[in-house]
This record gives sequence, C-alpha cells and structure tokens, in this order.
Amino acid sequence: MIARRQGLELFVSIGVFEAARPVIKGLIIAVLAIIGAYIGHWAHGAILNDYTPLQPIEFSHEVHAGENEISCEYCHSWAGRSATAGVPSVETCVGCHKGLTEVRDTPEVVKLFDYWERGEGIPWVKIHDTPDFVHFRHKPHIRGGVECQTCHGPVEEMARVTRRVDLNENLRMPWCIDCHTEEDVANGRDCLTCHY
Amino acid sequence: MAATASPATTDAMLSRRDIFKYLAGGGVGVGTGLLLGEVNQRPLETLLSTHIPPEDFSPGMDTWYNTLCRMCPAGCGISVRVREGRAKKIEGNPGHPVNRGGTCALGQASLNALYNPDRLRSPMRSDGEGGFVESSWDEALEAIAPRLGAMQSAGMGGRTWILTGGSLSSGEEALDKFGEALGANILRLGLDTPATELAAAKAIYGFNGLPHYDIAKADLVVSFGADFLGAWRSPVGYSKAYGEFREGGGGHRGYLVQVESRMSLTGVNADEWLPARPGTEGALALALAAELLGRSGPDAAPAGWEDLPGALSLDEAAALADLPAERLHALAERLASAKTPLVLGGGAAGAGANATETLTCVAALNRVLGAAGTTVRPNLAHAPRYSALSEIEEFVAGAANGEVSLVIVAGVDPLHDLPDSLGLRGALDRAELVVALDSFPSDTASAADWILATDTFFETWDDDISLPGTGKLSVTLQQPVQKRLYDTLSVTDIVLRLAQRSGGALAEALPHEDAEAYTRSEWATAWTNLGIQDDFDAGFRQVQQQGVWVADLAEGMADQFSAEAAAPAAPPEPQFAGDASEYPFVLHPFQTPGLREGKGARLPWIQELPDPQTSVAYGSWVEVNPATADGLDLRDGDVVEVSSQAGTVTAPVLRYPGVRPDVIAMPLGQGHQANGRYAQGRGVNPASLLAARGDDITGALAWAATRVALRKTGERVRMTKTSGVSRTLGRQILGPADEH
Repeated sequence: MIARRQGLELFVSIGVFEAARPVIKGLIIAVLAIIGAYIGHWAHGAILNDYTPLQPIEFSHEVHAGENEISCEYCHSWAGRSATAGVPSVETCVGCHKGLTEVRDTPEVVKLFDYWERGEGIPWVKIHDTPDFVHFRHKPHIRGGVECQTCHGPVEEMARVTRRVDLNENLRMPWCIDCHTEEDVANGRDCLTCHY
Repeated sequence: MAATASPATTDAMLSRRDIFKYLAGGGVGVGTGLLLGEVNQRPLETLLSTHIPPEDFSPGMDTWYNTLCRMCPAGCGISVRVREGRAKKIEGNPGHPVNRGGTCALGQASLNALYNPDRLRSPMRSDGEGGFVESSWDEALEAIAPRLGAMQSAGMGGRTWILTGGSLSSGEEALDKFGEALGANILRLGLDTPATELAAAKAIYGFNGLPHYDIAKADLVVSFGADFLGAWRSPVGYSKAYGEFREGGGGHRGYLVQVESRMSLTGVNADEWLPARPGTEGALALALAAELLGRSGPDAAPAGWEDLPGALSLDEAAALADLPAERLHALAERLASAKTPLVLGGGAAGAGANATETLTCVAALNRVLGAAGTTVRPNLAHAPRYSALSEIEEFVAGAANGEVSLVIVAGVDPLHDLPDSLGLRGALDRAELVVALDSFPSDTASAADWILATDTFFETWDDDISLPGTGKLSVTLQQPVQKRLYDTLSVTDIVLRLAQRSGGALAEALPHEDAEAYTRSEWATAWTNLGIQDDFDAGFRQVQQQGVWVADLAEGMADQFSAEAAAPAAPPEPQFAGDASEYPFVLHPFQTPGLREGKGARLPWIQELPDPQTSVAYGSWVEVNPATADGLDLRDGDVVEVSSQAGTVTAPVLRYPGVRPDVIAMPLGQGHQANGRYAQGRGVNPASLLAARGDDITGALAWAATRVALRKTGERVRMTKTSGVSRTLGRQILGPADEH
C-alpha cells in the first residue's frame, strides 16, 4: 500500500500526470458522455419509440388476420396491383360488420360506425414507411411472392401493430440490397429502380 | 479503500467532485442520445382511409386527366396527375394545339390556388364592419334570388350590373344568357384586353376576331411591344413556335427585332432591340410600309394603297421615335428581303391613347409585306367583347344616382386590376347589394356584401376557346379532376341556381340542373350546329379523354381576310395624361410571366419566383435608366415616390439599362389590399397610378398613357433579389468593359 502510494507520488512528483490530469479527466468525461449518448439513443429506440402507436380505433390484426384467418389482401386489396397496399375504406369494414351483430356494441365497433355515419375516413397512423426519396412499390414484391410478413413482421399475431426495432433496422437499404442480390432481382441493384 | 479518505489520494485519484463530473458527463450524454433519437424520429403520418371509394379508385396509382388551365385567357390544355382523388401535379397536354405539352410557371403554380389556406370554403356574408361570417348556400341564394325575381317582374333588370371577364366559354355564355333574360347590363373588364387589336384586325384584315400569328413559319419577326415570350396572349404557345422559328424550319434561323421602350423578356431574346419613344410605334410601322410600297412600286400595292397618306419618311420616323435612322433603313432592308415576315403589335404599343391606330398601322405593314394570309391567318372566328371606359363610366354614374340595385362580380378583381381613378370602389359602395363570385377574398370580393365561394377550375365543368387561337377550330374542355374540397359551387352552378330560384324568363333561359348538364348541352348543340354525324356521347367521351376538340378550318374559312380594307390613316401624336413639365416620365406598366395582372399574387410559388430579367421576388420595384437615375442620385434600393395625376405609390428603384431614359417601368400584379396572406400588402399596384384615359377609337383603357414624376424619399431598402449585380465588373465578359 505504502509502496503503491510512494510510487504514485513519485509518478506525480515527476509532474507529467499532474499537468495532464485535467485533460485526462476531460477525456474521461467526453468518453462517458459519448457512451451515454449511445445508451440514450438505444433506450429511445427501445422504450420511447413510436413503433406501436395508438390508433384511432383499436383494430386487432390478431383477431382479424390471426383468429379469423382473413387474408391480408382481402382488406389491403391493392397490394398486388399498385405501389401502395392501401388501407381499406370504411365501407369495407362496415361491409362485414353490418352482419356481425354480436360485436356491434363493443366500443371499438361503435367508433367504426360513428365514422361510417359521419361519412368520414379513419385517420390511421402510419407505421411502416420508407423515406420520400425511396419509391417502394408493393406490386412487384407481392407478384414476386414475397410474404407480407417478411417486411411487416408477424402482423397476424399483433393486437396492436408494431414496427419492431429489428424491422426498423431491416427496412433500410442494405437489407433491401441483400435480398435483391440473393434473389437475383432484375435491375434489383440499379439505383434508379428505387431512387427516381 | 481507506486510501480514498486520504487527502493525497483523493487529490490524485477520484474525488467526490470528479465522480459528480463523470456522472454529469454521462447524464448529459444519455440525455443527448434520447434527444437525438427523438429528433431523428420520423414524424407520425396518418393514412386517411376513404369512406366509400369510387369504383375505379386504387391508392398509389395515378390517373392523368386532361383539362383546361384557366389562369389566363391563352387556354392551354393541361394534364393533371391525380392520386387518391387529389390533384398533385400539372403538365401540359401534349395533344393540345396551343401549348403542345408545355406549361408556364403560372399554370404549374395553379395547384396553389386549389389548396390555398386562404381559399373561401363556404358562402360568406358581410358583417357590415369589414368582416365576413360563414353562411350557407340556401341563405345566400335566398338573399339574392327574390331581388332578381322582383326586378324581373317589374322589368327593372337594368338595375343589375354583371362585372365579368372576356373569356369565350360556355360559363360566360351562361352569364350572358342570364343577363339577357334579366335585361341586365354586362361589363367585361380587364386591364390588358385585346380590344384595340380586335379593332385593328377588323379594319385591315376585315376579320372579326383575333388572327392567328404563325411565328413558327416566319423567317423575320418584328414585334412592336408584344412580349410574346413573356406575358403576351399565349407565352407557352408562342415560345414553342419561337423555338421552331429559331431552329429555322425554312432553312435558316429566324431573325427577331423587338421595338419597345422597355426591354421585355422577348426583347432580351431579340437580335435587335429598338427602344422607340412610347406611342410612336404606329408611325414607325406606317413609315416602313410606305418605304416598302415605294420600293416595290404601286402595281404591287393592294388596291387603294398606292399612297399611304400621312406616312413619314424613314428619317422623319426615326427622329420622331428617337432611333438612329440607319437602323430603320436596315430594318426596311430586312423586311424587303424577308420571304415570310411577320409583324406583331401589342403590349404597351396596343395600350396608348392612339393604340388602335398604332395596331392598324402594324396590321397594314403585314398586309404590305404579304404576311396577311401566310404568317397572319384567320382563326376560329370569335371576337370577345370588352367594355369601353364609357360603359364603366355609365355604371359609376348609375351607382351615384342610386340606380344600381345589384352588382354581380364574377371571376374578376377590378378593384385591384383596374385604376382607382375609374371610381369603381365608390360605385360598389353605393350599390344596394354587391355579390362577388370568387374563390378568394380578392380586393373586390372583400368590398362585397356577399361572397359566393366558387370552385377552382380543377373542380368543375366548363370549356374555353383559346384567345390567341391555333389557326384551327379548337375548343378545350374543362372537367373536374377531383371532388370539391369545400362547400363551393362554380359560377355556372350559381347562375343556374339563381335562375331557377328567381323563376320567370330566367328559369326558362337556363333550365339546366348543374354545370355538367349545362356544359354537355352546350356541346351537344354545337355538335348539331357543326353538322357532326357521330354519336354525341361517344364523341364527348373522346373529348373528355383528349381534353380538346380540334378540327381543321372548314372550307372557305381559310381565306376570310377581306381584300377591300382601306389604307390606314397616320396615327395621331402620342398623348399622355399629365403635363410633361410636372410629370417628366412615361409610366410603362408591364406584366411579369408569373404575376400577370395580379392573378399570380395569391400563389406562394409565384411570389417566390424571381422575375426572369431583374431576379426580384416578393415585391415591386421601379425600373429607372441608369442615366436618369444618376441625374436624380438614385441607387438600387432607394425608395422613390412615383406620382401621377391619379395617385402615388412608393417602391424601391432598380437601375435597369433596358428602359428608355424618359420612361420608367413598373411590374403589375402586386399591391393587393386583400386576396389572402400571400398577396395582401405585398408591393404596390401601378394600376392605381393610371389615369382614366381610353384609347381614342375603342375606348379601351389606355394603360400605357400616363405620365409620372419621381421623388426620392431618402429611405433605402434591400430588395429580395437572387442575382448580385448585372454588371461585368470590368472583366470584359461581353465586349468592352462597362463604366460602372
């Protein structure tokens, strides 16, 4: 102990450490701040994210696509025909629910019929999105046999649809390019296929 | 760990203070990370579902609808890209004979009108204190229709005045029928109307309408004041033709000479620019005509044209116009050797006190050159009518005497576009009830008792015959490309509903249900009149797809130009309102390609768009020749007071070498008192400087015949400009170093 102290004091007495001490402390603070920033950014993504936003109607894909096995394209009927999968019209929802009297009075279905009677659309919150400089098109992917779940995750198991963090990472360009390369997609690696 | 308690160690190693520092550092880091995450997060968007989608609806798939642009009377065909039921983008309709796929900035920006935050969303009633309250169509029509009914049965329809523009559309026709059945007076208003050009075409070509100018076929174009590449009649159509003219369809590059006192966009593009004294263009044209007749001999002249009375010699004309005589001689030489020359007249040359005589001389020059029938050709004969100042005075006097019960203002903004000196504001104040049909709270609508909110042209049915024409028979169909955004109706719809509610002759004249039914019935009638045998429904569907109906001029129409016109008289000396000693400068108001007379001011894209020559955006300026500016000690940005007999405005000076030293130029279109957030209170309106002076013959407003004075206020502002200086700063980029 004493030796250590002596050693340190010897070191200190040389004056090098003494002079560099504020710099080293500053560096430690900076490193800690950077590590903190990484933790903060990760925590934001993991906890404070908006990947599972509240929707105007608590619509459950688990019930519709999971339990009742309604196919995705029954409601998102444009996925195979257009760039956008599209959200179903209120008319589509009401088309079935008119006959489903047993759930007519549940609060969420009441909300649906309120929209229907007011003649309004439902302002669903967008979950999966690509930036404006990417022109993603559903049609070629659906026609090419890509499962909806490949990008959207197991929606049929979700009571409230979430954009999972890993998917958030996945819906980025390297992920697209990997798949395009693997599947040997025609023009799949041409910039102008997606950026135009 | 007792060591930590020792003063020496804490000094050297880790003090409590250090721990706090490290913790604080880490904490700030975590906070920054969280914030970064929050900031980087893409904002939540909503996917608004449709309620009941139309059958052909498919999200993500765009549909292009061909329709008509109504931003100016040129009548270009446009294709509108529509996605999810909303208009997104405008392109020119490639199959349209006027613009052949092109659009101008104003057309591109017209979507700003559709989605404008200051658009009126329902009928508005004046609260009597300058404000407006929302109302309903039922209430609005009930406030107007009974008056119409009463006037109709009492035979007092003359107490109604309808103020509208001069477009040639089915919608205008509906207003006409309405006015006729009621016995109302109709005023057709506009600042830059083709009234003088129509009169000149009638006098020289014997043609009742505006001729078609085939710039593309010409090898020499001499334009007296017509800024056909900037803002005259049909800049998109003429720009296309200009391209062909320059590419030399006839084997060599066309040559362009521009005669005007302020260099316009066309002047910038010209091979030669001749800054003639304002108002002398007619004398110049006549002198050139006389010179050419003299060269070719009397045998080649049209009958009765052997001698042009009052024509000046080229040297005299050059002295009058303040131009070098040798340039006029050179121009005469060019005209004499050109194979397919074309002379145009318009702009300020068609808006002086002697404008009709001026344009008559220009048309006469075409006749002497043999251009009439080759590069100047008949059109689908149509002559829009415009009201002379005397008619406007009649309206103002009637209002002063309490003889005006109802004023209907449809689609025009005379309180902004026309000079204050006409007294229209006072007349509207004195009228019992003023109803404005507008989609914006324009200057005029804001002075009304009712504003009936109208559709934009994206939301309703109509059609138009393009004003400059195409040399063919062509009518463009306007059809809704999307549903109405708000509780609005088209002018035609409002007229039809008012007629139905008023009953009597009005209801009989206009029995149609809505604008669609009306437009279809007008087309069906035209179909029958033209003797077209095809099935109308199928034909109309095809027009809906193509956006335009085009046919060649019928047999015999191609030579409608009469050969019996009398030789033109010499134009009188130019006259200006205001004494030259008190008001030393002639005011040259001009239209910029975006703002035009003022319709562009409400569109933010147009406000943002710099003027192509001066690069000024978002405001007004006064163009002064550098020599004049030096004399008055004016630098760029010095605020000056521009005053005339009629009024005063203040705006910053822009030293512009392309304007004559005795002329100052100001852009039109700004200086709105209302008209939404983008237009209101921005810049000044040179129309308010104009004297109520008409052209000698047609009585059309002579908007280039006012003298003004300049006074330095001592204030200085920085103008919003995108370019630095227009000088070469001694670098000799374009010839010898300039003196500045």
